Formats: sequence, C-alpha cells, structure tokens
Amino acid sequence: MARIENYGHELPTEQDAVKALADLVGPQMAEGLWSLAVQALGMRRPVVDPAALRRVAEHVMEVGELSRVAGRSLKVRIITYEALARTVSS
Amino acid sequence: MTTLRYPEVRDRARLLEVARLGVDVDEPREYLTELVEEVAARMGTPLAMVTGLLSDAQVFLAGRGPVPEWVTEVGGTPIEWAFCGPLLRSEEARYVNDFTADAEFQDNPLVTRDGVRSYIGAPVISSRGLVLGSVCGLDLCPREFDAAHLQLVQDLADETARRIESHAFPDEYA
Repeated sequence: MARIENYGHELPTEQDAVKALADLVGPQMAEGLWSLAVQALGMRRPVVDPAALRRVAEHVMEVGELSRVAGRSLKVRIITYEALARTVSS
Repeated sequence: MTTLRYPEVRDRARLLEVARLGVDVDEPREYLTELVEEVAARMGTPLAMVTGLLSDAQVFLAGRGPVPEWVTEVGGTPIEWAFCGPLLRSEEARYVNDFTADAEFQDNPLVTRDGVRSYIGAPVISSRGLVLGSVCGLDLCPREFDAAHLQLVQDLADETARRIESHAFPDEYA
C-alpha cells in the first residue's frame, strides 16, 4: 500500500495555526488575533482539542468577514467626507 | 458617529450573511444590470439601483441614471443616508411620494443636496431570511405609486437575491 506522507492528514496544532496565520498577516497580528479569538470564546491557550481548535478557526473566519464589512463601510464614509469637503471648498 | 435609527443594520447574523454572499465586495455585477434597467423602465424612474446594507454604509451593487459624480466615486453613502433603512424592520416593499414632506427623510442630503424627491423600494432578502439590501427606483419629482408597482419591485428584489446567491455559490444553483 502506498504511504501517504505530507498530505496534511495530521491534526494541526495551535502552533501550526498561528504560523499559517502569521505567514499571511505577520507574526504580531497573528498572535494578537489568535489570542483574542481564544479569549473571546472563553478558552485558554494552548488550544489542543480538535473541536476547540475548530471553534477558534471559525471565530477567526467570522472576525475576518466582519472586519471586511466594517472596513468597506469606513472607506465609504471617509470618501464621502472627502468628496463633500471638495464640494464645499470649490 | 451618530446613533443609528435602525440598529438592526448591525445585527451580527445579517452582516455575516452580507459577507458570506460578498455583498460588501467592490466589483462589477453585470448580472444585476438588466434588473435595474427593468426597475427604471417599469417604474418610470430616472434612477434605479441595487443597494447593499453594510454596518455603517450602504453600497451600490448596480445602478443607472443621473447619479452625481461624487456618488459614483464613493460607490455608496453613509448608512444614515439610506432610504431603505425602514426595509430592515418591515421587510416589505414601500414607497415615498415626496421626501420633502416626509419627516424621516426631508433633511437627508440626497434630498436637500441632490434633489431626490420620491422612492419605491423592496428588500433583497437572502434564502436564509436576512435583509442584504434593496432594489429601488428614485425620481427627482413627487410620484404616485400603487400596489402593482410594489409587487413588481418586490418581484425584482426577489430575483436580485436569487442572482446574488447563485453568483456567490454557482454549484448550489446549477
């Protein structure tokens, strides 16, 4: 039987998770995001249990999604302000 | 930031649905163009649009008509300017014959600055029952609308919801 190696079939650890996040957003942001997510869920680090890891992963996803919505909202409000200010000053 | 007239706009489940369906993403949505054209044609309104209601802003997913240049640049307005706020609460199509006589909207900058006078709109509601935004027609003069107009704009809003969802998850709608 062929051996399956390096196909991601091992349970990710918290360390794996934070590193993967850090590769995208930098180490400080990753540590902060992960720690705050764990805290928001009423858990403590290190998160080890698969179900708990999943909850944190899902919370990080939700924070990302809501941040994107809030960011776009903020951008609209800022550009509106700038556009109106140009109108007043012209 | 001012107190929200419709705090429902910040409902977490609703905003997650907005994100899930990509309503907040700034991208062209040609699949909605014919719907706004139909709103304008059937309602006889020079302006028609599909809006997305975010947390602190509304964004325009599609639109047609003489929109002020700065609005095109922004791609939306602060949420306080949205005429479709009431739809979050009623979840029913509604119209306003003359904004200058409407206590809620008579001071709205889109009325006082940009001359919008009348409106007909319906909520775009996802298959999970959450209000994403609206389909609406706007005019620069007072207008009379009737029950047939309300049904039509609601039908177009329902189709808008279907298209947004099928675009976000094409495999589920294939």
